[in-house]
Amino acid sequence: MGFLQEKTRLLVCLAAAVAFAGAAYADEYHYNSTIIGERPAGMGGAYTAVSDDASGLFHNPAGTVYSFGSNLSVSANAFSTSNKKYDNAGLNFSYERRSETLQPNFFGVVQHTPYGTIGFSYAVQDSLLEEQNQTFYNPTTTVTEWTLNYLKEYNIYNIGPSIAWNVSKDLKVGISLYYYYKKYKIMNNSFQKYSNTTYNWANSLLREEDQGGRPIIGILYSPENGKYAVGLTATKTFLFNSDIYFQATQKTPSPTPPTDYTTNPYFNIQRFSSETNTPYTAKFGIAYFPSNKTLIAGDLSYTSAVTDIWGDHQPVINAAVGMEYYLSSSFAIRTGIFSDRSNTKAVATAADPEHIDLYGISFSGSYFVKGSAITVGFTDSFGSGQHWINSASPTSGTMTMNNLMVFLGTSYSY
Amino acid sequence: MMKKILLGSALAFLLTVPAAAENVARIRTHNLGQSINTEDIKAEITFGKEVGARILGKYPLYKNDALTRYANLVAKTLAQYSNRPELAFTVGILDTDMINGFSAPGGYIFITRGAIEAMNDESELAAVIGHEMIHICQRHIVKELNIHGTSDSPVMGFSHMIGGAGEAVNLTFVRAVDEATNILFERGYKKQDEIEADTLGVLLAANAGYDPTALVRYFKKIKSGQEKEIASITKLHPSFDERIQWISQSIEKDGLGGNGYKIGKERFNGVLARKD
Repeated sequence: MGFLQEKTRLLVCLAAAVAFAGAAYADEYHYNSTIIGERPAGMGGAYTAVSDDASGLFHNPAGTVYSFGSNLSVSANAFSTSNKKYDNAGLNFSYERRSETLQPNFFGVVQHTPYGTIGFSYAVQDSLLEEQNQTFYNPTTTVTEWTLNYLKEYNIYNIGPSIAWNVSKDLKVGISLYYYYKKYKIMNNSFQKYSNTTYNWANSLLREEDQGGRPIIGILYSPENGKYAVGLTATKTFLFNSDIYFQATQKTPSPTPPTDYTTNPYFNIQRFSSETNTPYTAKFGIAYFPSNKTLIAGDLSYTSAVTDIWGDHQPVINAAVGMEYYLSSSFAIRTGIFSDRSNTKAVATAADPEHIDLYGISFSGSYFVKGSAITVGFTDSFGSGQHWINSASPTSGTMTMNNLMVFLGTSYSY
Repeated sequence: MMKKILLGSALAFLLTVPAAAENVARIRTHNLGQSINTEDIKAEITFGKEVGARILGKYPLYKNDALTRYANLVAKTLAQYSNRPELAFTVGILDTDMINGFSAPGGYIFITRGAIEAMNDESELAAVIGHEMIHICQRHIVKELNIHGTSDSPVMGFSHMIGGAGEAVNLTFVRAVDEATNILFERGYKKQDEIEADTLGVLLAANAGYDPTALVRYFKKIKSGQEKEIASITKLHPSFDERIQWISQSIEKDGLGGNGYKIGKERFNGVLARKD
């Protein structure tokens, strides 16, 4: 009962936030925004059946049994940028939002011990710092000037130990136990000046912090002396704390308070501690090692439907195909293609969040000196879809999105 | 009870041997030539057990539980800093007045009672164990005899023998063990291997916090000892003066001087005084 009341209150507040500033949800509707690890990133994330280095701690811990000696890997997003353009956000204008971050996204270390292959890793699964700063002149017949300032921060961190065992010559199993931390914050400021010299000013802040445990269980089966490999992983985040804070302020041109509010200026703070449901994800991967020079891998992932405090999320199937080829004993290139499909349904009403399926390419090169490697590469995903970002707009609009990540990584085997 | 322990050991081994490049296909080009796979490690351990048995056939074990336990604790400490975490290092003390130490592939270290009695403190014990540990970690005998677990090995794949194999493989295996025994008791390691064991052994002990000058102190002490007791060590190793020189150069080069290292004299003397 309490949860439903809180949920209703929150939805009212969120509706208010949207109405105030034309705010919208953004990229929390994709599960594959950042590909973790220097080698997987080059292969489009097709790594579930490979996973034989420190990056495997995140992709399939079972594969770390195959890692060459003790292995340490660090990768950094030298530059990560995301651009979104919402056409027809109003009658005659578009929204443009841009995110730029520079953040190390993975650190992992693997060591073979008498008790199994153990590891420890830190992975930033998602990192977004999105901004919109726009002023529209005469966007409607009554509004002469509309200024929007929007800032969204969205980060998901995983940190924890792993262990994997060599069950038999062909079968490996492993588990990573991550502490999961999500921080999500949206700040909105909207100022509208009317032709009759009155104004409407609205400001809102939404902040969510989730903490939980996230096991990743993996199996890797590699028959035929390892020439082929099949990997399977399953993961789900179990939240033990979810704190949501919402604050809204508005001053309308009318001395009479708007229908939903009791004062003008309106001021409201709400805090919720409702547990948010999370989906489970299962991944299936295959890999083929035709020679020491060449590797071809493919992944298929399924993330379940889930209904949480923000609404319904659809099930998502993503796919990736990647390959690795050594041009010489000291230089390898990797390339891949992948999908990053949306967990939202097609946009039909102003209440629906954006819907955009992304498809991407990746490329990287690694230079090896003795046990160490340095890798430079990029992933780029793009697509077009639908939005109804401004509830005041009479129709939905089209949108385009582009995510570019240029990464730098290094690994060391000893 | 013994069955449980054996089963536990077997299981631990099964679960721990890294499968890096368990097959040739998964080895990436940049790792070719450096790889040790599961079968190689199994072969190394099996081979080492056989070599260890030969050592024990020549010298019996010294029955002193406290001293044996102590030496194994020192080895365990050093092993934490080694590059072979997949191996379980074991130290046995040989009941002979002779001063020497031996190592068999796979993690088996033997120090003679005479060698321990000539020591002054724990750091000297750590230095000698460290020296033997490096012979194992760097796979000196394994590389020299080209021992592999896979069937393309010149010695025909000891892993086949582990699972039961023909007479030809058994014969090859026995010959390889003979050759290893010959290295340990007659021919000695290559000079380069001894330099590596001395210098990296000192570095290993220093990483674990032991005095890096301990091996030099030890050599200076025993080189003037009874000829009969040091006959074996001088026969199988370069001269003490040469070894002292390259160890000292290595200490200087690696910047290992200074204070704050462990000596462990009281604990060493305490254990040595016990007879249980």
